[in-house]
Amino acid sequence: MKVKTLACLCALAAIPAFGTEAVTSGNTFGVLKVTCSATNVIIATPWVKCGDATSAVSVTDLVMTDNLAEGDEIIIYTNSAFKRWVLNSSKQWVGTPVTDATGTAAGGDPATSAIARGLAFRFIKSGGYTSDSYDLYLYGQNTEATATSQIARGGSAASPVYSLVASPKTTAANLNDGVTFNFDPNAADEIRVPRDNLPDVVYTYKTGEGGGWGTSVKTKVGSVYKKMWTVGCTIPAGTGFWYVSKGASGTGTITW
Amino acid sequence: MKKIMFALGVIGLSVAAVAAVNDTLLMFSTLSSDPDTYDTYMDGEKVLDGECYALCYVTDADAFKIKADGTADGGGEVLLTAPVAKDGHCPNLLYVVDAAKAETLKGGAYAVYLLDTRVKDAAGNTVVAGVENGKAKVVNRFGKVVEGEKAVAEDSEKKATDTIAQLPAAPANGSQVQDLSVIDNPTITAIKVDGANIKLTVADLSPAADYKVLTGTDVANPNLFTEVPATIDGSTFTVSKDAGKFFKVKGMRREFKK
Repeated sequence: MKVKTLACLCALAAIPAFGTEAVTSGNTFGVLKVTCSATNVIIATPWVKCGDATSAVSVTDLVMTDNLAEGDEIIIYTNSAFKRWVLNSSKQWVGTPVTDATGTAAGGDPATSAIARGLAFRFIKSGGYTSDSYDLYLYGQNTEATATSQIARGGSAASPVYSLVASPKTTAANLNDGVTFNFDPNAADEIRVPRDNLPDVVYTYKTGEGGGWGTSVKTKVGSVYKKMWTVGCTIPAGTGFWYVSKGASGTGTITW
Repeated sequence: MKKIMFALGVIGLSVAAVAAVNDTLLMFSTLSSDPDTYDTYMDGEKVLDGECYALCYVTDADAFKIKADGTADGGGEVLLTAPVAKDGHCPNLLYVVDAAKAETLKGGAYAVYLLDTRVKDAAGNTVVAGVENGKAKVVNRFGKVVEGEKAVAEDSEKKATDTIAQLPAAPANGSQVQDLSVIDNPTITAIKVDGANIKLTVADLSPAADYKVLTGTDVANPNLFTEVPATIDGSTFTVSKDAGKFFKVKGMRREFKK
């Protein structure tokens, strides 16, 4: 075989160029910007652990810190315990026990921060929200797997049961289309989206033709105001809500 | 048909046509992360710049020998003799074995050998003999490059003769021949938002491919992903934080002229 050496080839430059053979990463990563307009917001978990699609992401890896302020907080609620992290001056999340009204430490071990898709967490803006919106950046590995949210059912109108829920979707979630409840919501159940200095946005459920999750708004009819219920419940990407159960029992599931 | 080029260093050396997808693309070097190590001759001297490394296809490692004239004497064949030693190492080299030739190479493995071609010039200085017609002009000794090891001097058992070169010159930190013919799918292993940038850490990269970052807003339609400007530094791909919502990394096999 004739062997070409460098010595006789050095005048000919190879020209790297794109060919037809392509390979693409099997995994997709994402960044979701969530624009917030409240001091205390409910945030979703849209991603899974980087490099491991079968594991939940750590909430302290999920939220970009560069644009946040010292004292900003993350609170998650899992396994019947609150866990809290507070951002320090070095932009690091530091596990900080939740304290009760007497200052007594309570809640779970903040060292464990995995949070599955379908769960929500609360972000609390240090110093309170003023008038300008602010952005949270959530980043991690994308997954096409379905996710579920568990709903604690029970309670009563006088003593409801609250579940913190968020859509893992990276687009707005219409709770009346493409989202599956494995239970029939109680007529008194509510979906509540908190707002600063304003009443919560409240969605209630109606059965039958034209039913679903919707809101009641006061509408002026003639000279009087009437409360009109309108179907529709869309949760913006990256955000969540309280599911307020006022009846039934057991655990319900929302499949996103 | 074949081609050799310095990988990753942009300096390319080639002949004629473009390597086909079914050609075999090989890469090898003796580069070391330790700047204090270097390949040596059997006498311990650092290899001279311009010394030869030979890419061989070896079917019988015990029988394989490189003769003083630079050709193989059984046990395999010499595919390439490259006088490329620089600063005591063989730089990264890419070499294309075309599909037809590769078909004739059966039952063995690719291996790299360091040759000792030192001679005295007219002034009495020690220099490398160089190559002629693709072969080393003179081969005094040869040593197999073994990943992570110094070559072992076993020439006493080889019964070196005046026509059979002896082992070894000793590469300091040899590498196995790496077959780059198949380009793996890259894997994004981490993402970090750092100020105005997103930094993706990517594994399973091949020096035989060029990479780019694709972004899109609908993960269900990867065909709609488009390229976004990216700065690539080793395994770190940096793009603007606002470049998009979803990110993938795409590799395209380079075309190598040969």
